[in-house]
Amino acid sequence: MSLVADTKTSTSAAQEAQPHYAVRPYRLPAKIMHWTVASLVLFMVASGITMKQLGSGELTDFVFTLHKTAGAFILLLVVGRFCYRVLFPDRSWKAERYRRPYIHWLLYGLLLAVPLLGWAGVSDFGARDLFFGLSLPAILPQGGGWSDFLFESHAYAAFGMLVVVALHIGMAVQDHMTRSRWDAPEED
Amino acid sequence: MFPRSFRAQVGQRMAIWAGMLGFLFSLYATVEIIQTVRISNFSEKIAATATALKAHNASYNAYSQLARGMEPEASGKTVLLALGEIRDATKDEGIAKAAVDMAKAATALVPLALIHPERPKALQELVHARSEIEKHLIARVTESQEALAEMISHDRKNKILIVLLSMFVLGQILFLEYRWLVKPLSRMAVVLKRGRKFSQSLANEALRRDEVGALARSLVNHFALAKREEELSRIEKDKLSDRLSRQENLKRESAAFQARIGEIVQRLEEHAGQMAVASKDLLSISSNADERAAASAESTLRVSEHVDVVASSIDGIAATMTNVVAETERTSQVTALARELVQAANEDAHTLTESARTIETVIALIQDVASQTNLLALNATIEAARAGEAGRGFAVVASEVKQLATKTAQATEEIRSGLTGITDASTRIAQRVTRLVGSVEQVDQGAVTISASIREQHANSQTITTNTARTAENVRDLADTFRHVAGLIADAKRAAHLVTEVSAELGQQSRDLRASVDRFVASSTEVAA
Repeated sequence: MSLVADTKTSTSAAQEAQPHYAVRPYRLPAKIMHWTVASLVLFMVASGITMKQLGSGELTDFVFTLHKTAGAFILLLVVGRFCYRVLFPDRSWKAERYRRPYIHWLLYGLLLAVPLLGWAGVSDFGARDLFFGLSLPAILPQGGGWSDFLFESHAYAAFGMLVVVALHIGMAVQDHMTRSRWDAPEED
Repeated sequence: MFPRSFRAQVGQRMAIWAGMLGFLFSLYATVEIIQTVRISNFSEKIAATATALKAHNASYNAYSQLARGMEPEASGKTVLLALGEIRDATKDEGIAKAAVDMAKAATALVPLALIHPERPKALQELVHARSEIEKHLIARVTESQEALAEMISHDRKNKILIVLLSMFVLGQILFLEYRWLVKPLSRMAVVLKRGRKFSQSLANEALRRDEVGALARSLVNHFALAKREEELSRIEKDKLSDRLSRQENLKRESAAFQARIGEIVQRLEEHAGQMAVASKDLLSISSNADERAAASAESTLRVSEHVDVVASSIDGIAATMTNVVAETERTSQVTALARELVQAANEDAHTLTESARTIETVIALIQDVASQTNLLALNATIEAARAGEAGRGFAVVASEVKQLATKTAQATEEIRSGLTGITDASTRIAQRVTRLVGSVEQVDQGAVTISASIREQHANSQTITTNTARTAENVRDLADTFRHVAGLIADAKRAAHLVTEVSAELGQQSRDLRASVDRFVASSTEVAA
């Protein structure tokens, strides 16, 4: 969730050459949502690839249901995170502080688009059942013949998201390496 | 988002990269394992189908014999065996069902004779069951082929995507680590090796929290320390050169001081010489004046004697009127002598005045010299003060010189006051002598008139008496004045002696001053060296 901070440094700070370890202020709910979504995304990738690789069978159906349930959960979490961000903005979330804010927006978009594509494919295909006796509402009429295309797009978008996630991780690490540039107060 | 202990240090970064790549590689491994398992399942299925097909084909002869009714028992048995083999191999419900049907048909067909009414139907059932089995087997093959093709396609897509993603992640890792680790380290190495100026990027890296940040910080500190040392050494060098230039200045100044002191001393010596000469002149002039004054006193004394003689003569005139003519003659002679003497006295007085004037010019010269000496002594004092501790010796000498100059001035002042007295006295002498001349003239005239008019003699003798008395008085005054002048001249002589002594001492002191200056210069040169 963190991006690279602006690298403009004051000369005096450079001359002092003394790092100070201010911690970026993310709230605990934001952190919990971030790491839940992150682990779920990894699980989704693993389960999606396994599912595809297994072909068909009972195990596949089980993994498929698990995939759908987790996807629905991710969708809820991402929407929740977004609402939380709007309601309680992160103190460091200022556009001028970020060199590449579009990565964040791209990640949010993909985190919404990939589950939605999957959901649409499932609706078209006609397999909307989840665990715990739940069922996804149909967002497309069943049997529209779009399911193959939708699933394919879902898969490619997911891989694209993994690329964005890799960039996101790299930038987060860079951000942490130069965290001393943040002057925001410590929290948690 | 990260725990607080995470500082993106190299080890922690490696762990993250390992996690990312490990995730991708385990995904790839999972895909590969599933693929392998599925391929082995497929190969088993295909092998079973092949076995079934082989049994099916092998049972063809028996089947055709059974159909034609040739050795039905044996061929029926063979067909049943083959059917069992097919069923066991495929474990397929459809095939099993078709095999059961065919077995039933075959069993039904075996006991029937060639021309049995039921035989065509049973044969038809047999053929149907066999074609059913065949269809199932072919469907099985097709199905396997399709599933295999789909599996392979999925597998390829998955693997390609995972490999592409891994390559991207690997590329990103290499790029970032090059930027974060390799480039800063090589930059620092360059900075350390070639002693280049450390850059702003190095200062930025010093803000990092990982090992590279620590390295950059220590490097920045090292450079700051080196810079400070350089500055200190520069200041030290400046100080040294400043001291050197100050020493040089001191040397130059002391040389100039030496030159100036030498000049002053030379002039002092000159002045002392001049003063000695002037005092000698003064002495000779005052001796001359003394002589003149003595001569004047003598002539005055003689005048007084003569006037007394005149007075007594006049008294005699009063007593002896008869001897008037002779007496007037004698008077004429006496007055002529007196006139001569008065003339001499007058001349002496003039000479005295002139001498006094000469003395005055000499005194002015001495005074001038004394004031200049005083000025020089003041200069010497100032220079001595500037020279500080080293100039203390000649400061004493300079003060001595100054005292001498002051004494000289005092002496000349005394001389001057004495001289004023002399001038006044000589002026008075001149006046009195003039008056004396007038009186003598009158006496002369009186004598002439006496010889001409004796009658008037009586009346006039009274006048002559008073005149003579006045003359005598004047002469006595004159003698007094001369004595006074002689005293003044003695004073002037003493003063001149003093001046001579002073100038001699001045010469000595200026020599001392030169010696002490030479000593100071020698010592200051040593100090400078």
